[in-house]
Amino acid sequence: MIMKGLLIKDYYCLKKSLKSFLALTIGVILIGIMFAISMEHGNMKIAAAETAVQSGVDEATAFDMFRVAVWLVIIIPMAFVGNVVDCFKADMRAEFGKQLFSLPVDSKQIVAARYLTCIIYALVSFVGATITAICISGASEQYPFSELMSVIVLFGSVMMIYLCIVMCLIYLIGVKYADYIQSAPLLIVMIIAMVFSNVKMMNMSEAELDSLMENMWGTVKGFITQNVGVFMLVAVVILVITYFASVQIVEKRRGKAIC
Amino acid sequence: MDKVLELKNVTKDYGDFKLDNVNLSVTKGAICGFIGQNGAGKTTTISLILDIIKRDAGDIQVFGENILENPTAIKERIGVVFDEMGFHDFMTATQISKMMANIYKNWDEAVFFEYLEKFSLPRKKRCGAFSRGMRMKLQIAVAMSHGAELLIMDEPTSGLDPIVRNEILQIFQEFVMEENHTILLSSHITTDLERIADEVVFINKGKIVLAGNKDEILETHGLMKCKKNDLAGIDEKDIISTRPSAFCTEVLVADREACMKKYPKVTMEQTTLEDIMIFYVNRNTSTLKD
Repeated sequence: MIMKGLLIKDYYCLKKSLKSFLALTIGVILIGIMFAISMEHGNMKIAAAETAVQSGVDEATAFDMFRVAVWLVIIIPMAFVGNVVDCFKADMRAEFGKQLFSLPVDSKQIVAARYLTCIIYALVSFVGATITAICISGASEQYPFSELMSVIVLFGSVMMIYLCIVMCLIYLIGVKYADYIQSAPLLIVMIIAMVFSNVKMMNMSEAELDSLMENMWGTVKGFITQNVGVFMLVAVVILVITYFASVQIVEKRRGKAIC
Repeated sequence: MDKVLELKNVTKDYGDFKLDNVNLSVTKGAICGFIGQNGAGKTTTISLILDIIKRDAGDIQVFGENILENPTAIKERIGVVFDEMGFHDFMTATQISKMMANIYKNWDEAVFFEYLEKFSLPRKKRCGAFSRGMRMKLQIAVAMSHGAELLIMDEPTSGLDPIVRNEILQIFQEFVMEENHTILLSSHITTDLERIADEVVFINKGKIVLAGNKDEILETHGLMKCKKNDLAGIDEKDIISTRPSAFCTEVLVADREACMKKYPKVTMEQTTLEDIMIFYVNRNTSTLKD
């Protein structure tokens, strides 16, 4: 019951952004349907055919629009991440920390409510992305629903991992550094990925590099399909670990953890 | 007498400020005024009582129980009012009620709306648009709508106009008319506490300098008006603190009756809580005999 009160509070914090989130989801679904129909019957199909003729390859290779479909379905989970962090900022602006700790709630309930808000919001974005995937795959056979769902689940898992780490760091370091905390993991991962890929590519022969570039998207699709389960499991593990870590942090820092 | 709240040797050290071995108790059914200048440690003490911050040492008992052993059950019985509202600006009173109804087991929405009506607070207006007085009344309405037995308030009348302050003080007096209701009220507005408090506790630089029944404190303390010659004849043990003025030196004494007998030629006046606070605060810095 107590967590319900805190969830209600978070709902009021996110009410405004939920409306724009809904508008985004509807917009993405509509664009997805239009794009899929165009690829089947419209201008995009014509453009793909002309490119294929000019390049001397088949249409699917010349114009791999699957990656566009992927971007469409992952926009929605990306949007939810920033909105959940807004709950922390709203609490800080209201100086809600003192009020919160004077209520009959303990640290476990405080953290659990925030994690639940995150999970609920993730589920909402998952539903939105799934509807988008259904619409796109329903409009064209080129975009199998199972492949789009693999992308959604993997990307959703990655976003959940990111958000759990961000929330834990916000409790530890403070809400006023939330913007830096959100950016830091992304920068670190980007730097590691760039260094890793550059080092790997430096050790490849020219033929191997050409082959990699030609089959890049195929490689990515294969990676996604094979590792969805792993990422889901990692997301669950990170969620549990960061939850317990956050509880300890909030218990130690108390009112300061919310401000 | 039953003690609703007891602090024993409570300490909190921030480095540049230390709450040092604070001993404080509040009698059931009383209004206890917690007085001190800005930065004296009132808010820190209240934060420790409510377990908002962790203490370094000491024991805090609320309703006879250690607050750390059963904090959620104890907080169900406490209503809190802070100097800043602490609710989100975009929330309305109705939304706050929905939130609180799912936090407090004994939340009474009907009582809450009665208080809103009594305080002329709108139900559906965002509380970010409320004036300071309205925000304070909203907090009081929330604090008194879940069956709280102890109200803990941190400077609730600070920054309010006299009319609103009067209204709020009347509400506090009505609250303690119920047998098991108690108030701990921190303030530096001593006139409010002179009006409604039964007990007072003075805190200065993290230490309790004086505590007891308000009327007794006002009765026992006195303000002597001395010329320089007279001052020389006053025993230092009788002097709490002095304050020179243009024509005389004012001397605060802790035993008015005894000093009137001991120094019959010196003018003795009744004192106020404000004077007592000022003199105790300046105790170590004043020159006893200029």
